[in-house]
Amino acid sequence: MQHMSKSSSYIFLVFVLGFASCKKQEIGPQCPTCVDENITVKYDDVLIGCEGNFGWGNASISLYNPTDTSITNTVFQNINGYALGDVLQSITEYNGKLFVVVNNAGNIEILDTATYQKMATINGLTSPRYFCGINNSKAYVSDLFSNQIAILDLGSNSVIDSINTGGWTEEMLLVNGKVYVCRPDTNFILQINATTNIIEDTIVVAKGPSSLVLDSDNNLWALSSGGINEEQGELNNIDPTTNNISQTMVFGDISNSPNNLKISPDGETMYYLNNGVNQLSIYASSLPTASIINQNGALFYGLGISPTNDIYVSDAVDYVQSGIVYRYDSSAALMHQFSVGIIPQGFWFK
Amino acid sequence: MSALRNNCLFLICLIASVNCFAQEDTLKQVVVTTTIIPAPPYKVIKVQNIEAHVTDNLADLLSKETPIYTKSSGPGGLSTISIRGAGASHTQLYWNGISINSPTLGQLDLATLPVAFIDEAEIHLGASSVVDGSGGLGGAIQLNTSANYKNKLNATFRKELGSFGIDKTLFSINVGNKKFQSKTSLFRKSSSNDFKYIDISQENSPISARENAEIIQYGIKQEFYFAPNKENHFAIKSNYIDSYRQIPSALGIETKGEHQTDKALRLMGEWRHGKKKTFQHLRLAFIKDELNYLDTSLSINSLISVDSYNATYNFNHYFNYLLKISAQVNAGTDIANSTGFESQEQRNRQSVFLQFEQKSNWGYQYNIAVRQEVINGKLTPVIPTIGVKYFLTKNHHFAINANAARNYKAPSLNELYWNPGGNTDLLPEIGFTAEMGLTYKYKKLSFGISPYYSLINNWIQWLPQESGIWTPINVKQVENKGIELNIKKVFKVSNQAKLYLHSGYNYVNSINKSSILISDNSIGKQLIYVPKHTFNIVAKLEFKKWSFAYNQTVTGKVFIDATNTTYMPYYAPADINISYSLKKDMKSTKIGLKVSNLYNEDYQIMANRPLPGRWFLLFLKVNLNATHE
Repeated sequence: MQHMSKSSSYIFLVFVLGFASCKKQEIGPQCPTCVDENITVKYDDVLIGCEGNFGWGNASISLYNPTDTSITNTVFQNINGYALGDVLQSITEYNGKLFVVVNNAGNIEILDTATYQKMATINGLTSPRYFCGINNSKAYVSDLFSNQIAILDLGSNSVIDSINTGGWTEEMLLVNGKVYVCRPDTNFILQINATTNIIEDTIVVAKGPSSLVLDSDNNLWALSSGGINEEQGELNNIDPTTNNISQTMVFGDISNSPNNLKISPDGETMYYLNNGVNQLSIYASSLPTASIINQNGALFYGLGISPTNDIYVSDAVDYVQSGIVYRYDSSAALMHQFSVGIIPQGFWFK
Repeated sequence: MSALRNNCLFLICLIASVNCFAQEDTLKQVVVTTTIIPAPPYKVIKVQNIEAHVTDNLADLLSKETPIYTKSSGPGGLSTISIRGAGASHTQLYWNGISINSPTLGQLDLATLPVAFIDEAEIHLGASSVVDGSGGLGGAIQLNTSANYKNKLNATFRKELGSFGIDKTLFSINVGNKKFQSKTSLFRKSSSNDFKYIDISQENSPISARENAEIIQYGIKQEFYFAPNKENHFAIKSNYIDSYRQIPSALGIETKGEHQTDKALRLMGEWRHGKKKTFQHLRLAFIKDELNYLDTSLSINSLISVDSYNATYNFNHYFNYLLKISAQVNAGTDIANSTGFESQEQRNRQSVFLQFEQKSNWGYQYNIAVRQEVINGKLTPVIPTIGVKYFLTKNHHFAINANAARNYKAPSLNELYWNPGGNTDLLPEIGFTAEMGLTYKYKKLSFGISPYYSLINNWIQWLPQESGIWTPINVKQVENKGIELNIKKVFKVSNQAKLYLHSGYNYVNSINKSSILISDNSIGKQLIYVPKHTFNIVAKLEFKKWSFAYNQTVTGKVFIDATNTTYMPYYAPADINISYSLKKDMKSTKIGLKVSNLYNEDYQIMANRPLPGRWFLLFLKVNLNATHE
């Protein structure tokens, strides 16, 4: 009996030493299938911004090439050697650079459009949403919680000033030296003088304005969701020379939450999400009655229109699995579908 | 003649048992209890070495002493467990039989429960949780306190100082006589938690110090026990725990100074009565839970306050030592106020539980039980359970058992009433579970092996709707298949040295079997944050005045996305605990050193939430002890 105990003790000792000698190198989240050492940048690349889960630090960028239909996930991490961070909000191109706004990390990663390599990081933002370049040295960043728009110096890549907005600001658009800013928890679109940084005007629309586009006639279009069963959503045409609303199209069903207004490269056709992908001409007198792409029980989350008029739409499925991107041609025929990162929501077309 | 002897033994056991929670006569395998506990065909794990973890929290205890997966965001941070592949809210926690899961969240943060305030922890796996109540689709954990009427005086002072500012103090004094006992404990723990870690979220992974991770926890426990005669026992039990915690950000996020304070007051009065073969047990309880989360930079200030009242009456009657019936009637009310609710929400629950247990004179036993609950006047699904145990050998060393149950988990108040998004149309999650087991128990060796199967329907998950509002929905069906192994042995190394060993291994294959989502690519894939393999071993060597303990856990990789493309690597931290005790009459002094994460492993349990490398703790314990003979 005693003998057995001793041998058991030895076995235990060997076991302990076995553990002591084990060493592993992996720390933190791992993605064996994401790693692709040879990322080749092509002229027609599509970058897909994947939000990731709030607080999980799993925001990522997926790279899709429409010509050879290749997909590479987590390209930012693969190229730059560290993870993008927490909650990717938007990707905006300005002056040959990509401004990737990482919302919960409170920063903007600046990437070179030619290589996707990081050039600089802008820190010190609270809850940044969208980037709007003003000129070579100046840009605005909207914010969810800071009640301010941050003013960036693009020379030093730092926050140098701010504009008080009284609340949440979302998409922005620069037209003729004026920046139009959505205030999604109100009925307002603010108009800021991009030189003086002063709010000069407020345009009243339906509750929840969130996206803005500029059409081929240099008119502004704003889409408001109507809030959550608070008001009917609206699509408004705004004349930026007078800030007058020249046309209003109302969504009949109060439970609708139209979002993601986009425009074709020629500025003639608008697209938005509302129980599927909807399309209308900038000359249309009323909203379309049927979607051009049905979501068939899924819930579309992001929308993008490519330079070749392809329609990209994303589905986050259950928000904790690889999201799916569907690519349709301009006549809404499905061309390709593929898996990307977690919660795909935005597209950037090279 | 033999039958008569058995009956006598049985009666002796009955009388002796009024004092205790449960007592076992191993010879006859008769468990006589004043309250209702899982019948022998069900699986129960008694958590070992509670004393060694007296200044830890419940998450630390379970992660070290059992192979159950504990998900922790950092030392003292939010910690939940997953039993048999089920979710955190599918584990029901009970304090002396009273449910203590937050009625709003549906789960309990195990880091808010100091081990110092409990005497015994038992894990009721799968179907065995049905005797405690509904909702334990994975299982239940019973945390109990009790008195020793032989105690005259037992006073303890314990001080611990360690790395990154750990400072813990425990003072307890238990005094009394054969009829009356008082137990008092005061506990305080603080830590700045500014440990060093590798920041993988930055270029070139620099070494950084954790920020905004301070914790300060304190609490008091007071219990009175009164036994005027052999038939009646009364107790008043209470504790109050205040946990202040800063909430460190995930890597790559600048800290915004978030912090949270959890306050819990738990009060109960109980009466146990045992006469001849009939036992009654009445408990009346009041629990007040408060949670305040603050994020000043984002001006978030959320406050949740819940008052819960509960009354439970248990009745056990032994017709003879072979036949027993049990009944339980329970009524409770939760009144919840939350900044997330439009108005105050109240939930009333009543339940009835009936159980019939019978055993043969020679080697098998079975039980049938049923529970019916009513929530806000509506009948919930019936919970039936059945179990069988059969002794394979005449000496009762080997036994096989099988059991099965249906169970359900009612949606939490947040899932029903959160504004916006709460879904009052949610269906309860329905579970079915079945288990087999083979056990061996003789003298100082015991082992067990139990394969199980469970199915959970209507699994709830929060998803955004067309409006962008997140809403809980009955999304999927989850299937769990697994096997659990455990072994416990005491070796006598020499006359002065003893080695205690216990070890466990769990395998669980937990998959999304079907879902209501279109193009769901996670069907057939392992659920996120459910490791397939978990293992633990604890070896404690006692030699003269020395004690040396080694603890090793191994947790296999977990997937962190439902399509199983990304994962957190396995981790295998080990701890050692060395102590030396001096004993002189009634006084004893113990000094010790604890080294945690002995091999200095860099690891994270939850993605981008770093954990400390090797760290140290010194402790001193002074004890004064006297008993009535």
